[in-house]
Amino acid sequence: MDQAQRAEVSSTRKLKKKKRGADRPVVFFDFSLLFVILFLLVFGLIMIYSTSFYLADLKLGKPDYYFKKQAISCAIGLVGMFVTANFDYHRYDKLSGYIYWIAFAMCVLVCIPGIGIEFNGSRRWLGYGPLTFQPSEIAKIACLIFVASVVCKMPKKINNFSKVVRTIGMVFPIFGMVAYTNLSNALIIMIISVFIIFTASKKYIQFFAAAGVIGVAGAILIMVESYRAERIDAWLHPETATKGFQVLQSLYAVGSGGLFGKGLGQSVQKLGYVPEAQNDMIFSIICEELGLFGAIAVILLFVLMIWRFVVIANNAQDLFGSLLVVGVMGHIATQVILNIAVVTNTIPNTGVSLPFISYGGTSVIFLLAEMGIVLNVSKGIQLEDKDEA
Amino acid sequence: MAKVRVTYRLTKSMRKKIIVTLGMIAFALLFLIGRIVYIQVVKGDAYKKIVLDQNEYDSQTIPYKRGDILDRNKTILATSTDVYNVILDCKVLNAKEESIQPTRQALLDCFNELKEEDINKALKDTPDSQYCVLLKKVSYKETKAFRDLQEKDNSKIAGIWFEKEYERYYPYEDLAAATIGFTTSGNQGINGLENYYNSTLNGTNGRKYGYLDSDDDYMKTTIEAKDGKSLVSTIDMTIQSIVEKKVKAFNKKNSRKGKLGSKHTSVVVMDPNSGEVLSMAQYPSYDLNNPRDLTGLYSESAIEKMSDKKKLAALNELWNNYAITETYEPGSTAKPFTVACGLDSGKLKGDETYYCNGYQKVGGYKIHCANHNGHGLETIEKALNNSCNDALMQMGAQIGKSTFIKYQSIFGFGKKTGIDLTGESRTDSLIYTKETMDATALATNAFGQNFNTTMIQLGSGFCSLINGGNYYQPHMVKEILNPDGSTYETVEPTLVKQTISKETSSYIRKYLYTTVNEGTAQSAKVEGYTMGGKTGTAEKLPRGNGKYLVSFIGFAPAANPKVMIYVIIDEPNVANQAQSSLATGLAKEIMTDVLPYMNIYPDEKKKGATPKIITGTEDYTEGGIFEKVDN
Repeated sequence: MDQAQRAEVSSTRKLKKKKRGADRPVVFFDFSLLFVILFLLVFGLIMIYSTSFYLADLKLGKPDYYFKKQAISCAIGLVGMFVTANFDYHRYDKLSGYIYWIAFAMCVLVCIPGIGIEFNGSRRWLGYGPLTFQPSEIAKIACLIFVASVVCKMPKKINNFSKVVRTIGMVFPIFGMVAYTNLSNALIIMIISVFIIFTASKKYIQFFAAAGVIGVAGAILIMVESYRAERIDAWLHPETATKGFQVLQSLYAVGSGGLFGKGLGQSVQKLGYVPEAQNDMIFSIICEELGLFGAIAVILLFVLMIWRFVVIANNAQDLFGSLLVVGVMGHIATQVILNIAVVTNTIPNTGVSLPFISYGGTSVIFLLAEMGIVLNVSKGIQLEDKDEA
Repeated sequence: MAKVRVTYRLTKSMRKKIIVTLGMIAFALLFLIGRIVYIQVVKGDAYKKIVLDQNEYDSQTIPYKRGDILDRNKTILATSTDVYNVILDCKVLNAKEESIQPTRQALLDCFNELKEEDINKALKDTPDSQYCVLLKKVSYKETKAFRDLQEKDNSKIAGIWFEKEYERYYPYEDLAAATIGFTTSGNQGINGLENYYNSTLNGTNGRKYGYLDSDDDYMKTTIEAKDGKSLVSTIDMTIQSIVEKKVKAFNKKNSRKGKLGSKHTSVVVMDPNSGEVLSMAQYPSYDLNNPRDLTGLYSESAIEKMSDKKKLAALNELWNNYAITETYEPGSTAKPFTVACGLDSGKLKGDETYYCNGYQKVGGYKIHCANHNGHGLETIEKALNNSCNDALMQMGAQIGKSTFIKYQSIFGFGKKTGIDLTGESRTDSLIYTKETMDATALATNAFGQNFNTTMIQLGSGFCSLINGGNYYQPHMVKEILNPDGSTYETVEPTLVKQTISKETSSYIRKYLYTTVNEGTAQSAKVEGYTMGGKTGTAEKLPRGNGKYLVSFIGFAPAANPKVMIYVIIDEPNVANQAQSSLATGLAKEIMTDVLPYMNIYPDEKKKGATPKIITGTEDYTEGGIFEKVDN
């Protein structure tokens, strides 16, 4: 389908070119990716309504409370996507430093009591009145642009290990600030950065070794911090741990779905058992309502999306564009994998949301902005070179 | 170097790396799909059960209370009482070893029906069950004793809770049974008011939920149940019980040879000035608390022999509300309608006289009067007094079929009254139309044979004849109350139409007054009261079998009717069924008690002890009304 569509697009473009006799370059636009994005957004809205209407009605008296808020965020995000899709990505290269420090400033601000807004026991929000956002979401996109920019200024030197360490060191300030409020988002920032560097570098073993060391260090860190240790206990023994309730209920939801699920809207677990089901645990309700079939379909949609990223990255006009797309790919892939891993109790609960589907305004707005960037990169692809793909 | 813009492109090794990462991502996702499959296949069934289990335990339904049915003085006719199921949470109790013995002892002390081995069995066989029903439908009082024990300071009782339920209860058992109706489980009304007002009486269930908030704290929310609304019926419990007492006594007296005193006896008492039904009684009746019990009608061996189908048919027959479902030929109680029709339409002037020779030949039958020798020359009033079939047939001919049919429709014959009860019969095919009515039909219709009606139809029409011509819709509910007792809706009497003029109505009252005073209905008269009324003796189909439906419809006081009574005895269990005096006698007994209860004072001027001359009754001899003749 993908090939056919592209072939079709190219043939019409060629026709137009012949007619006009113009010599300007043929412009590519990745409609497959756009379709996947829109599909996931709409599916996400449906699932948010399905998972949240019951408790929203119970607690707030407004069954469509979460749905409406998310729909508004999606609308804003789509406008943002339109803007970034038409904003030449090369300009980020020059702006990357400013973007980085603005994001850093925000992350500092959010830590200051009285400025950062506390919600559900975590101070993660900035804003005024109903307009709030999480700086940690901005930090992801800022680091992505920053690292891509840094790496593409010295593509050859990145093979040098000291340069790798230095680049990562440059990300550390923001990583530390985000980690202070939201460890899982900080982790994602680090993974995105490493991802970009890994792609640019020729080395393999060093990265895998580093990953192993960091993994062990992280594990030790977690063991030390009791709050996280509780989560580990919940992970290993969900049936008995006091904090295991959420994970266990999520497992019940996944397990009770069967092949085709209980049907859209028919989940029992969302009736108060899986807490805040519209957030991080939304995938468990998808499993319960739409079954194994629905779960695999959602995963395949993400695979399709990542596949489009690969195609765009491989055919981008220049290295900067490629690395931007690689960063976005790392971002989406990490969140999808971590989220589903938590829901299935494969790893301890980390609180990572499922992109485009989980409830969360800032998250969806900046995800769509990233998609805009990718689409803009895709526009730069010259179709004459497409055979190389 | 940094200032010089150089455009790099992706190198081959970088492309390879991207493909490698794609591979790693794909592998991770594949692994996760494997995890989901594993969870579903290995743990799926167990998790499905757990989901159902915890749903039952954690989100408890709080049942609503179905509304009561009250009589007009707010005496409770139907109510829902709370009963409790004793639930054992084996998981909780098993976890507290030291609690098992005291809990078991407390249970055995408080609930006599409970056996020790049942508790032990539940604890042993289903150690993880959180919902194990030990006892069903225990009264609040019994649970109170247990709760008191439980609340003692050193009590070690654990793992027991009570699940509330409501059970429908009818304190007066068979009183107005068919009119009130009963419910099956799940609060589904089956008959009468219970069915007609089912959705009004029912409320909505509440729920108790447990859920985790974002801090993983267990929260409980309760949505209270919304109780149903109550009905204030127009029925007067006292009148209803007077009526039923008399009806039962009558049937008891006449019950012989293992047969009931009559096939059916039914009485409707109404307020003629509003259409409110004060009493609607029937015999045989049934106990609403035990509606499926047929032992009142059949011997136990006979019930055992019955097939399910037959049993159901018998039950349906028993449950049917005679006054609205049974259609029958009314007989002479229809005569006032014929006269009212004639006078109101102007077809009868009021000064006509008719000669009765005792019978008239119509359509192959010799139709007799009660007096086989003939009543001689009669005015309209006398014809009603004597219940003269001959004169009425002549009037019918004078009125003509189109006027007659028009007035039948005005009086409501052939149409549902729309009373707020379930199961009113359609009678539109049981009366004649312009096309089908011939001279024979007109003649027989004029004195109440050959067309069918229901009691409520004829009774409502009759009310309009005597109250000045106002036809009120008959109804059973006066008021609907909110669960807290405040008024939700007041039902005002609905004046549907004007059937006849006030003047005609006053003539009818006068004629019916003299019918009770000196005519065929004398035996219905309650001493000291002025009353009006008309007897009826209808020969049932097939003619000549000696099966009759005798009736009386009357009112008091004669000048200003406050109460209307309609009595029907269907196939009385006596040698000669054609005696309307059976119905008048029953009516008199009822009215003797009802009139003083309703604060209606004796209004008859004492005339002294003039001996009454009995001019005749509407009691037919063996020959009956219809005698087959060969033409």
